[in-house]
Parts: sequence; structure tokens; C-alpha cells
Amino acid sequence: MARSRHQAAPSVNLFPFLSVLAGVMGTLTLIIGSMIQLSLRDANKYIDPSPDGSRKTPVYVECRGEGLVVHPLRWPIARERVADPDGPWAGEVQLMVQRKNTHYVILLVRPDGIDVFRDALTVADAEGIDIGYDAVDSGGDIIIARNRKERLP
Amino acid sequence: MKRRRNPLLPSFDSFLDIVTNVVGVMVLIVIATLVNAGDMQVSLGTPVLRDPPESASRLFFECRGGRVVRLDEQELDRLFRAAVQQHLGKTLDQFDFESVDELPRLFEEHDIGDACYRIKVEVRQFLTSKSLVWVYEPRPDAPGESLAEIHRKGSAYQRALAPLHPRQHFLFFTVRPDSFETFRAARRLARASGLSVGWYPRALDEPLIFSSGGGVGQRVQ
Repeated sequence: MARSRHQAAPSVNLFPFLSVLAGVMGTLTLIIGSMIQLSLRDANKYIDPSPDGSRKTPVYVECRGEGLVVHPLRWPIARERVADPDGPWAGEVQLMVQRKNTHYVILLVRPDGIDVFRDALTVADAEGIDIGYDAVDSGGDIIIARNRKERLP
Repeated sequence: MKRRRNPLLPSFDSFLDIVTNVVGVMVLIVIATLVNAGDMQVSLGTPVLRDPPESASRLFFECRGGRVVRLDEQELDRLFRAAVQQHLGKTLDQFDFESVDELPRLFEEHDIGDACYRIKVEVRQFLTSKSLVWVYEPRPDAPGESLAEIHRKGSAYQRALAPLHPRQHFLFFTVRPDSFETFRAARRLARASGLSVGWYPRALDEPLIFSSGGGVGQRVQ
């Protein structure tokens, strides 16, 4: 007796696709994790230029391993010249002395700039100007901006 | 004979839909991360250096290795005086120019301190006088709290802050370069309680030295 040949309808097996998706998911998780790490490490730091409690104008000076950076013009002062009594930092402090009723200095200390910070603080403290300092993580640029819509170059 | 498909076998189609959607969402997260995660806002609060409230007492903390560690000055001072009395049979004011040199040796030979710090003593000679400086060496297994732990309700840090009064106490932190973020979080908590906070950065391997005439640790921001 002849058997009637009844061919089953072709079906699609989605398991290989599932494996590909799982692989993509794992890869994306890795990418997201590493991107967040990299982004946070090198994040730009936006500094609010009008801190509470003072009506004076802050002058921000960044203390890095290689020296000082005076903001917002990003004027660099080499590490070895920070403690120099006739150097550019001493000159900047003298300028601050003349403007001490209207301005004050904030030193932004990077983790690698602790020695530079101490030299800068010693010079500034000796002149009796108003001064403050704060800890800023490494990586990224410091951008002085009241809010993110006012980014400075 | 045609085989019938078992209706009890699970279908993976719905699962596949979910996985596909998760992948899609993750792609969106990648894009959002790229756009936004590059920027951080730093709020400085009130950074001008000033004196702490008059006659306010200081609580000292150290931020190192991403942890906040309490340095109990009163307790370490008590342990120091007790050890001198116990081992040398003298009070501190009974030492003279010659005998003060016994102190560094005593603290080198005996491990004296609390759970967080070991006390060591150095004698520094000036022209005609000698003065003592206290070196507090952090213990490797010192208890401390991480950034996440200090935020927990009932953490040791928050318990230390709870009884403090802004007019009677202020906080001072020594901050190592690996703990800037932890320090800022601890400072935020202290400021939220109305307390004044001072800080000073120190290199990772720089010893923690206290002396009677030290200028660091006397100003807040």
C-alpha cells in the first residue's frame, strides 16, 4: 500500500538567533560599562562661579601636577615657578592683594597637584588674601560656568 | 500517520521578543551614555577659609583608600599619656631636654594606639629646645566606611555626626588623593547637619604628623 506523502510545513528555528542576541547583549553590557567608566574618569568638571556665602568674585586657579592654571584664560604657571617670590604666581597674588575687597582666590586641587597646591597656598596665605580650596578629581577639563548653558571656551 | 505537535511544549517566541527588546533598550542606553555621561557638575559650597566657631572642638577624620576613618585625638592622647605613665612612670611635664629622647624609643618598642592608628613619637630639635611631634600610623586593617557605607542610615560616620552641634564642633579631614570623591560625600553629609568642615590634602605616603604648634587643621570652609 502506497503511503501518502504528506510534507510538513517548513518551520523557522529561532534558537540560533537567540544565541546571537544573547551575545550582542553581553557585548553591549561590556561596552556600556567601559564607556561609563571612561566618561566618568575624563569627565569635564563644571564649576559654579557663584558659591554661597561670598559676594566677592572668585578667581579659580587649578593646581595640577605640572603647575598652576589660572582660569578662565587657562594661563599656565610652571610648577617650579609657583614658590618663586618673583615669579608669575607671586605677581598674580599681588594683583589679588590690590583687589582683595572685591575678589578672592579658589584653588582647585587635583590629586596630582598637592605639592603645587601647598606652594600656591603658602604664597597666597602670606599676603593675607581671602582664599579657599576644593578637591577636584583627575581627568577632564575644568570649565567655569554658572550653568551648562554658559559654557566657557 | 501525522504526528501531532505536543501543545504542552513551551514556545520561546515571547522570550525572544523580550530579549530583542532588551537589546534595543541597551542600544539606547549606549547612545544616552555617550551623550550625557561626559560631564560632571562640581558644587563648591562656601570655600573661603575662615576660623571655626569660637571654642568649638575638632573631630578629625582621614579619607584614604576610598574610606572615611575616624582619628580620635582625645583617645589617642589618653593612650599616649597612659603608656608614658605605665612604662616610664612619669607624666609628660616631668621630661627634660635629655630624658625626652626616651619617648620615641618607647613607642617604637611597644605597639600603642587604637584600632585605627598606632602612635609613634619623634623629637625635633631646634636651636636650644626640643619639641615632640606625634606620628599617627594608619593600621592596615583599620575600620572605616566607604562612600556607600557612610550614606547608610546608622553608619558609624552618621552616628559620629549625630550628637554634634554646629556651634560647638567642627570637622577636619585629611584627604589622600585616592579619596577626593569620598571626602566630598562626607563633607556634604556634615554640611547638611550644619557643621563647618575643613580639609587638607596629603600625598598617599605622607605621614600624619601632629604637633602642639601645627597650623593645619585650624580653619574651615
